[in-house]
Amino acid sequence: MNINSKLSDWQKHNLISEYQKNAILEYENRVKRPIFYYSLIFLSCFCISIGIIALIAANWEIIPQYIKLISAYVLVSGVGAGIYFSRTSDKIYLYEGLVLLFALLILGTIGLVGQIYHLPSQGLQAVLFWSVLTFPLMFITQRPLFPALWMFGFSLSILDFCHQTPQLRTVLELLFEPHQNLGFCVTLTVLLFVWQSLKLLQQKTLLTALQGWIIALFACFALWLDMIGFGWEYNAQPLNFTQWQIYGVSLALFLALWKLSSAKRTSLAFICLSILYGYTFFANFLPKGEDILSALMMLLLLSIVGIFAYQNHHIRLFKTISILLTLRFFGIYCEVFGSLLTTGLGLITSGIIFLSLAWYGRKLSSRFLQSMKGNTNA
Amino acid sequence: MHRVILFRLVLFFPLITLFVWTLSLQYTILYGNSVTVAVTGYDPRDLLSGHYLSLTPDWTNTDCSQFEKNKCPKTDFETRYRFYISEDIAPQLEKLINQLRPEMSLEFSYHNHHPAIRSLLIENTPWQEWYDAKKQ
Repeated sequence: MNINSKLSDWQKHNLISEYQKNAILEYENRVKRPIFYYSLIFLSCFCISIGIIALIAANWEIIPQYIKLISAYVLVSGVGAGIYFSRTSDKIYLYEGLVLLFALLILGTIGLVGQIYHLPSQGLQAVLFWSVLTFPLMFITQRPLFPALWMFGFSLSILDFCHQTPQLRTVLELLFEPHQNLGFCVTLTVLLFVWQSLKLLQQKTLLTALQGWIIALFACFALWLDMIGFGWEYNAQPLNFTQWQIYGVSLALFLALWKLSSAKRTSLAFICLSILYGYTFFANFLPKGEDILSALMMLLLLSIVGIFAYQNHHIRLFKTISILLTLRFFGIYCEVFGSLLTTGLGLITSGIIFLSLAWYGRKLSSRFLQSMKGNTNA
Repeated sequence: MHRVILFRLVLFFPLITLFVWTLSLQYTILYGNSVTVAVTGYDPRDLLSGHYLSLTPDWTNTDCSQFEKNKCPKTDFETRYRFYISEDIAPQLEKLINQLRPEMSLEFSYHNHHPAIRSLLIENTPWQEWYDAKKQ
């Protein structure tokens, strides 16, 4: 439904007046972005840049190496100058784009030097080197895009570096084998520690990016552990003494961090991580009950995030969590799928649960809307 | 004022580091001792990896007298080297190497225990000359 018919519909139901309808239409027409114009500009820039790259690539062999290197340095310096002079400009997207381009050109220059001097490649060492060189850039960005990209590159390359270094590989094996959950707990605790430490620097963009990264990692880890419970990979062996010691130290650090933090949002992260710690503990003693434990863990996590979404008026998140909870319940039903009797009973139970969830979700949504209305009136 | 200094530092740090790194590589290439290490395909069945020849030192066929105390410093060298070959030549070169099984070696510039590749030699001639001769 386009805005015109939507507004007519609202007017028909006496939600808005004729005057309001016209005012909204006028405003929407005024702020309308010339998408066609911007699309053509983007397309022409894209074609020209790909064309230039293709021309350079076609003549790559005949371009002397020193010209390649000088050009790379001139390009990086030019973009660097662009960042410097646009730092006070209002064009925030241009500035952020230049920072991103600068970082990518540095990676490209590392690759070029590696190619010219025939340097041996060892895993993702070039990306690790790039991470070191571009780390200070995170302190001059105003949007979390580059920090998020940096964190992704750094995490992958440091993991690869640990994997390639024999001593560090032993540490990785100790953390992630036979259970991945110990490694996940330690990783998330370390990240929370970094997050708390970064708060002292008061770098909002950095904190936002790290927060997003922690949430994404947590979601991936929880999903992975739940998949193990689903029987995709079953690898249940008790933790050894050294692993228990690591668990203890990590838990102590986690509890200390929890005690030190006070913000409401931080508490959600700590409650979720405490569930992961609990799961790691119990999965060790009940290896055969891993299926039900992981399902319980996921249901608990989703419920807590759902409550948080409800309390903080995040309606989209709340609805998404409700759907995920329903799906997870259906997953439990699939896990116990057996004879006709259990199938029938399982389907009836699932149906009742879905109905209850739908009813309760609707009730919560209306209560939620009412509270929002109350807030607006106040 | 502090912000301006921060900006300059942040932007100059990667540039200067990259520049010093490139200079150090160039210095090693220019002023190191020339040594030749015999090489074979890292995976003899599949020599080419993208645009690169994937090579591994063959210490049994390397003349160790070119190093100090007549001893090959194996730990100073990597176990795997990549040598860039342009896209249009690489498949033909790989084919020729697989057919003729020539002796290959990498010429390094060796300075202060740091080896840097200078060129690829096939039957003791630069690879491009060897390729041009065999192609005809």
